[in-house]
Amino acid sequence: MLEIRDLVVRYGPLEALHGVSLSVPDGKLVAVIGSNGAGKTTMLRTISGLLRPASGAVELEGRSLAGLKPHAIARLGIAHVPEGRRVFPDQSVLDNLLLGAFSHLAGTPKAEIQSLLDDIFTSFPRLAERRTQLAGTLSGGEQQMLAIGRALMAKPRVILLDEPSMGLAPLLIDEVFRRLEALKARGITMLLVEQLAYRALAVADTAYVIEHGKIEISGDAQALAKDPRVRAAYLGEAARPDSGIGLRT
Amino acid sequence: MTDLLQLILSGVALGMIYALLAFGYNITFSTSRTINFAQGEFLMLGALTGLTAAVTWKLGYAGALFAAAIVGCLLGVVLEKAAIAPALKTRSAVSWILATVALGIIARNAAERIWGTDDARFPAPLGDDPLTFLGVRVLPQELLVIGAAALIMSGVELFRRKSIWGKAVTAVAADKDAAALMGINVPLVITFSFVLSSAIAAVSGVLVAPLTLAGATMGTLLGTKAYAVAIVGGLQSGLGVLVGGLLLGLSEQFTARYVSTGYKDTPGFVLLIFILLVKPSGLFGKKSIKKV
Repeated sequence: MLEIRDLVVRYGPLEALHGVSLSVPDGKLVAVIGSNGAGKTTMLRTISGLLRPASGAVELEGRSLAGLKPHAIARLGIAHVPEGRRVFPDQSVLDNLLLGAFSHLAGTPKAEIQSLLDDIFTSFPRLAERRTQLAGTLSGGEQQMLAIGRALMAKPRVILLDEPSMGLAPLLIDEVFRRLEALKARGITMLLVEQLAYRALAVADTAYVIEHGKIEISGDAQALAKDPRVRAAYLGEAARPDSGIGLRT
Repeated sequence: MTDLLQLILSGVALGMIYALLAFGYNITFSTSRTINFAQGEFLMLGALTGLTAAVTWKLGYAGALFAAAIVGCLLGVVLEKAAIAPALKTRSAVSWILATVALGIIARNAAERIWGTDDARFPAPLGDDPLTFLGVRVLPQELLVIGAAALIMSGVELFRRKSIWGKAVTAVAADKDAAALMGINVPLVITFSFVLSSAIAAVSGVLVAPLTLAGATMGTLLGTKAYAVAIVGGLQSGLGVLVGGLLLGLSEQFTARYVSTGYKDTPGFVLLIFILLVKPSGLFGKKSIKKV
């Protein structure tokens, strides 16, 4: 269980998050939707320690993460798939995946690493084909799969996903969301941040709407998808189920 | 013909020393986008420490290499903590440049206090008598320099490519935030890169000293030329610094032989200016592959 309470984050004099609270129960997929600049990425970067909150708390299984460096937070089991994928471009697909397991690699038997790899190569056959290729030469969709695979290699308690659909063609977005659903079916705990509100609500258990650094609405994802306020703001004509794309503001 | 071969061997030996120092620049530049302008002084401190270990403490050449490596590692930690980390925190380029230059001046003056201002002969472990084969006379120390430098550079490259720690260093070089998200302790990796770079410089000092002389001023020009080599080869490229080092070592030997020893130091800087004019990223400067 990942919980954040009254999180306030400032960039210099600018306050980006004004007291955000949410919780991600074990085995659930929680979505945070909201427009560009609403504070979604800031929230994820604060959870994983890349940014320091001015106040508020982040707790993993009841343990406070305050003051911990990003690498220490990663070792506690939070795997962050960053915005824009951020794979290591000059290293092979296999090396990227092994780096994903860095925090436990030394103490993990080779056979277990291999079974983690096999597992990822089964879920993402494209990565298996390209395991020796440099990650920088993969297509955007493949890089997204690699970034997710890299997070899975960490044997994480929670995966944070920052805009996995960003910059991808609609067909690839379908593919990414199918993968997320498959991971959810395996009971993996995820916090998903997305601009594509319709897609995120379709896979999530619960959801939060964030605007201008504040949670405005929250609740069951199915219910939110029907909520007239959410529909008006995020699920307009452009986000009809058959169009494949969501409203980007 | 034999004259030419002798020149080439000497040029390669000298070039390998430049390449080793430049390799050190390459290591720290990749992880922190900074380089240590005291690298030549670290070479000098390595050579003088080695001299004390070999001659005063009678530990032999292996002992000298070991002592230099230890001093190099310690210097690397001091350098990173005192000069680099504070500058990276404030994101100020001027401060790390000035801080490393200052550290170099301090090192040179300290060395003059400890070891005096006179240059000393460093006994060559394999003797000073040239070996002769096929009519070519070559100093055993030159062969030792070439072999040891090749070993050090290939060892580091192997480490970077094959071990998970080396892969972590490469990951930090590519993307610090993403590396931290993998659980990699980024500040520790940066410190490590300075330790490695400084240890290589110090060991280079023990390698080169029997060919030159050991003294407080021996490192300054070497460090500056290695900087030229790093720029010529491409600061980001391991292969580039090797080629750049050999290019400079050979061109200096040829200039000294066929032009004048007085112009020996010229080709390096001519090369530097020329490369900066036509290909500022260096001969092997690579543009990172980015596909979206």
